[in-house]
Amino acid sequence: MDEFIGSIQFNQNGDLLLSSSYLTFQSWTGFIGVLPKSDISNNSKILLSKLRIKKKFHSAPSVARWTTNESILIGNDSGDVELLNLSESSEDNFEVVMSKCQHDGIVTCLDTKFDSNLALSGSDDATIKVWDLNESMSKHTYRAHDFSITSLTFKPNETDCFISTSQDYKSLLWDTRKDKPALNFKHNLTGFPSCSAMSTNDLNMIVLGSEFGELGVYDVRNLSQNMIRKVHDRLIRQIKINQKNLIATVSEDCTTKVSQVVKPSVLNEMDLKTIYSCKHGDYVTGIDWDLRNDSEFVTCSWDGFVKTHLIDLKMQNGH
Amino acid sequence: MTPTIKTVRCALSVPTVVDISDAINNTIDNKFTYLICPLFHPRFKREHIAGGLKHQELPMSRSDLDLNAECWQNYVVGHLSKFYNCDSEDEMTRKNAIIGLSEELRFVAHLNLTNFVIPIRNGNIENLARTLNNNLMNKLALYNILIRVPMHMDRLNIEIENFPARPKCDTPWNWWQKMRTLCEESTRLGLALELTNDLPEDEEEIHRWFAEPVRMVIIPTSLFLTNKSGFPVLSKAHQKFINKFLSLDIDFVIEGANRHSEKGMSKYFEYLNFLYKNYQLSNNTTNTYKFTKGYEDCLQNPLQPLMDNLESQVYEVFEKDPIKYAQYKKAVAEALCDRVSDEEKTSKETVIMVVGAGRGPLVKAAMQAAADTERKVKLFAIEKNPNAINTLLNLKHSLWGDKVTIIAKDMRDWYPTEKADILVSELLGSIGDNELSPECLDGAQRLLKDDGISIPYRYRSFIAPVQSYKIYSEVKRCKDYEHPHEAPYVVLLNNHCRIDDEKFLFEFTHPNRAEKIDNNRYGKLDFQAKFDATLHGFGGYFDSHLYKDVDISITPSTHSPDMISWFPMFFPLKNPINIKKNDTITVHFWRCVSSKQVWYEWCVTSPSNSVIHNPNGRTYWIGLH
Repeated sequence: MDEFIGSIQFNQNGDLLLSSSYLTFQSWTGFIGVLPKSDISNNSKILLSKLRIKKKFHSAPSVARWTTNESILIGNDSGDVELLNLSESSEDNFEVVMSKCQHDGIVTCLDTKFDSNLALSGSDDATIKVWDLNESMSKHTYRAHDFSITSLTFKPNETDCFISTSQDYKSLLWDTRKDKPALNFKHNLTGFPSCSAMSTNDLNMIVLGSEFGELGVYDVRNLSQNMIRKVHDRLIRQIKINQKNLIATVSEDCTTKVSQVVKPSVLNEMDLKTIYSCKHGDYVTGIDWDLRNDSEFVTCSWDGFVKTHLIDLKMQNGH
Repeated sequence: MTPTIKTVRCALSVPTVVDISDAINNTIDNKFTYLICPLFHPRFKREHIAGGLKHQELPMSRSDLDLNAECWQNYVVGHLSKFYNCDSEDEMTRKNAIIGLSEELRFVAHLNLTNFVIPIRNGNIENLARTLNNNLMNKLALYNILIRVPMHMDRLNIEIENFPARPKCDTPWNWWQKMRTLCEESTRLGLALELTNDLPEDEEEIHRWFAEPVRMVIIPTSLFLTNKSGFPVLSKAHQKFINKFLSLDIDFVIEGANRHSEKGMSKYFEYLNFLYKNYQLSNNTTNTYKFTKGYEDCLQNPLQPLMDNLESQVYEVFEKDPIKYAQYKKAVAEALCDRVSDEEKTSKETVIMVVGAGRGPLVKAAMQAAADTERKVKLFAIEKNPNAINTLLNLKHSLWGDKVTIIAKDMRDWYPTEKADILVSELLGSIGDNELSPECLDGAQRLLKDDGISIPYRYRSFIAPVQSYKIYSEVKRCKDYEHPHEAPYVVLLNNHCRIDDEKFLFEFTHPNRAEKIDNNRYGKLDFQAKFDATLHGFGGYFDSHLYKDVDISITPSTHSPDMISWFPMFFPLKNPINIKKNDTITVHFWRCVSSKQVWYEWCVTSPSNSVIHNPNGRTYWIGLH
């Protein structure tokens, strides 16, 4: 059975969490699996059914995220948000700590803050839920968008601030401590924003990707100044920025690319340079940088493969 | 005989289907009528332009063998995948979406599903409309397309800083109107209306939705409140909305997470069934409903009782009206008391002639009025239909005796031996004069004494601009004429709304003592649209004053309660005209009289010009002989 791998993420121990769904044939079920990075050589075809640590789900998980090194939050196609703990004693390696069906549509995105008890879920039902994982309940349900939520990203180092983007073309900056928590910022992308990311070492940098493959780089302090470049030919699925501010993107055009913001001598002419590109056999759906090694990242795709990539800043293209 | 109480048709809508057989079993276990679900995995966005992608080697969805054909058709309604934007600015996205949409539509036709739900999100729907229209024209595929929109877009629970407000003309109704117009008002296109938490403040907006071909009302589980016993119920405002829409024979849909988890999803179904049962029970007790059920939005050609003879069954239906004859009796009674004082009641005799007596119900009413007021009357019943004369002669033999004289003649051709004090008639059609009452009574007024009166002494027609996609579609399909939009139809207007209130058009008074009688008429009416709408035609109504303020009426604002003898008239337009709120709608009507027939012509000149309908009475006319 071919795996349509949908998401991929490292925890702080270097273990990789994968989620995958069967998007055709009779049963639309799915899996999550955990494997150490050492088990992945470049071009690994992953058959989740063969993994040592895995769990099958009746309703396919659309996205999975680590909350700690031992626990995982998943969102699935029936609108459920579930919290699982890795457990050696349990039959299928996981113990379900929380399972809430509160979304009216498929869960499209999740974000978690490592080692904190807060999480965000967004859905096709256009709502954003803020979860308190210790209390196993959703603290807030925000209806600020008209259509499906395409991404949710916590601001690094803060749990009250996050970005939401949606198919209604809005990208909102949230600060839940305020009276009016949501601020719309004009992203000037032609299509709707399909993913978002914030840099860990430049807290003012926001990057958005659009449904048409445009990448927009913004400075929170001055949102009118922005740089938009068409980096991909199709929708950008995910963006991840590493400690060196390299922007890695994965797209439905079946490629993954790494771009770098270059600031030449002339002050107001910023540019985005693509320094790496690599192809998969189908849409590339997930990406994560290796936390311990700034030049390596992994991507996953509907072709069932997980690939590792190495950035040599002097090289232009990988294989 | 008590009509059977029907069960509500309510579907369950789900975002994904892990296994289709399990999903159907779950639907039926929870008492729902059928399932609405995506036919393709909700995240399986397929690439159609570029080649060489792994997923292109795989089947697009599960096999149709997973269910038998009957199951697919009876229990599954498809929902379009949400990742298509056929009207995207980006060429690749647009092309991919159109090919993807066509692929899904072909699959729907393959599975022979009855309905397919397609959501629209904004007014950019040209490519979508063209693709749908082309598919709808295919006679081999029988499915209906239901366009899904929310009632309005103001559903946020957060105020957003820095966000411009939506323009007022950019509402879901406008998007739907555009879709409907582009698809030439196809009858295979319907609406799946999503109920929102807040109902529009303006009731007219709800009436306007009511005039559309709503086939489903989708109720999110988030709308339900919880009663004291923990069961889901809806607010009074939502209940009122649902009761209104129940007269359109729609299906309901429950969608969303189970918010009353201990009770199970079936509780939502049971609640809607409870509302439907109550609706049917309250309807079964009203008189009006008993007589009119089944006639809603059914076109009928207007009767021509002058030229044709009415049938026994038609007379029987008329004679059942509880209100009309009571009003006539009241009018005759008041007229008798006014004309004959208490002192004169034993000596003075009033001559009452009932022209167009039919099978005698007015004769009966007049006799009862005379008995009630203790006035002496001499009755004549004049009728041209020899079959009705048969009935009248029988009645004279068994009941009336010498009190009534039967005259078997057209009232215009009888030369009486004595004249009448009161001429009683009921020759009215849906807009009053359309069964040629003026021409008949003009011809009969020689029967009246100089100080004689006519009951009725006045009748007036009224016109209102109407939106009704359903009735317009019925007219288009009508095979009775070469130009079906050039004839008025008698129809119980149900699935419609009035764009402005009715206005008075023509009036006729009797007796008409003018030197030269001219029953030709011209009227020009200006309406102001109360909301954005589509003008499909005009509703016609009448009121008739019998004596002083005793009247009968079918105008919307003054309708005689429980009177079922007349349905309104509908004057179609050849092409619907899209109207904006506050637009002036100007309509012109002509009543034309020749020696042989009478007909109506009409046209619209604002906000745009229409053709003049029924020139020279080429499609519709009423015969004088």
